[in-house]
Amino acid sequence: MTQSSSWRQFKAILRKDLVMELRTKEMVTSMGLYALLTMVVYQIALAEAGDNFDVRLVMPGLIWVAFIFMSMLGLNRSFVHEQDQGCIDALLLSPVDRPVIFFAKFAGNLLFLLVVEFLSLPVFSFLFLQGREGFGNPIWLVAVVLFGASVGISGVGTLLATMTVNTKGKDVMLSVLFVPLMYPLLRAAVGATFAAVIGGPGTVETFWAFMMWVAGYDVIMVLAAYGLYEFVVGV
Amino acid sequence: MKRNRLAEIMLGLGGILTSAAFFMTFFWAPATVYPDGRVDFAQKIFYFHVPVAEASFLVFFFTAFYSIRFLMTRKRIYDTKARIATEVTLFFVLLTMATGILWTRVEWNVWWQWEPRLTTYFILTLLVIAYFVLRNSVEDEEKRAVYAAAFGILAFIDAPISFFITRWLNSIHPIVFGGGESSGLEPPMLITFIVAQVGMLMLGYAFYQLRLREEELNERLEALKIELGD
Amino acid sequence: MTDLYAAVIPQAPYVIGAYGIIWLGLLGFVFMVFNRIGRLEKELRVLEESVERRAKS
Repeated sequence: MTQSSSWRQFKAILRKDLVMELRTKEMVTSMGLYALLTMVVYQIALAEAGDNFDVRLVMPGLIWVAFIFMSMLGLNRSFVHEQDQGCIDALLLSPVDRPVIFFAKFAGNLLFLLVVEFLSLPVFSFLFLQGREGFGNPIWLVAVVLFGASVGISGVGTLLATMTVNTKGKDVMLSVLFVPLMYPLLRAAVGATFAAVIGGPGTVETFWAFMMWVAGYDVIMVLAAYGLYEFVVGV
Repeated sequence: MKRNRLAEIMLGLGGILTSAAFFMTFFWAPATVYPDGRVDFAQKIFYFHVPVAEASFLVFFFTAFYSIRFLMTRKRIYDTKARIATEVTLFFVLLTMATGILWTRVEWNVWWQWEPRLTTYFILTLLVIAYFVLRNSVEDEEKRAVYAAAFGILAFIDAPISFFITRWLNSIHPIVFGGGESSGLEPPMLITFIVAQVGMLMLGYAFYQLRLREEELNERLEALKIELGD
Repeated sequence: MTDLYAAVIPQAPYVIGAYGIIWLGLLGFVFMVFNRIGRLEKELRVLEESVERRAKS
């Protein structure tokens, strides 16, 4: 009984976010544009590197830099909305379990992040990787990393953004707290992406070793974020 | 006015032990000699660099501990304790960084190297600084305490990572204890190190208590001022 | 012996620097905290006296 009502509440909050997004398309457009803009900046960064420079060597780092900053933009947005429209206060007054709020916001943020990631990765390849060697390993490995790391990003990000939306700096505060906490995850995600992109003997093992790291981080940090959310959201 | 005797004793003992360790380092502990006969003088930094680093991890543990206590009880004193523990952590972290950088310059010929231990410790430094940035940017007192506690707990997760990472990954940072055949110390070196370590932990405890006392005095003063004000 | 000096002299500034930073840091911390505690105690005494005076009058 309670199980099913939690599930309904979860769906209701998630649906609210999705409907609002479908109506305004604000999150996906702003995050997508942000990703495109970072690619322009990357063009500047690589401008003098020459044609022989293998972009694949730095590509994992570049895409994760774009994704981490893009995710912060989205996370901040998602909670500024809640606050502006008084949504979160209304949610807290209603008899919704706090963990349900966490998982619903987490799922929404994860979904938006994944959509933009999967849209911007082909664009990145189109802009930077044409005429280069292809991916060394099956391309679905990259999808695995994207999913694994995005879980950690959205999970911890949901907790931190709930806090930072009430601080003076908002988005600046979010990056100050978020980037150092994300370091282990990002490092592993870049390692795994690199192994997937470059390919060669032993890289699949390296890939899964890094993915274990990602999975460990996800489990520990998302559980911690879930446990702490209850305290943070009420004050 | 009650004074914290234990803190003062610890401060005195810690001072004596660290001073003793300082003299033992230079006059008793044998110098490390490379296989080719060169003397490694910079190894002397180890006797204080490592104790300070271990102290920083340990004090940071108390940040997480008191943060959890605070979230469970909502008593303001635990928030103050967690904040002070983080202050002392920051102090030790900065000392570790400064001595580490000097050691790195001698042994590795560079001031900085993106090596797992250094990187994760650098992240730890950023997290500790971020803790105070967060505190400063929240105006509401209860929110500040809760947010800081939540962040303190999350940030502490990096401490064990930083501590164990040289054992998990290929790191050029030395592993002195339990790191294979070339690790371990001769007895005089080990004793010097232990004296410095124990002294440093006592100092850490004393610093924490002293700051706590200062904070208590401050609060009493504020309360009295309000009482007199009206 | 010359070997010893050859190794010690170029490394000495860094070792001295490291120990200098540690000692200055530790002493500075203790000095600062004691200074502030002393000042606070003095202020507190003054205020407590005035509270007492007020209570009497």
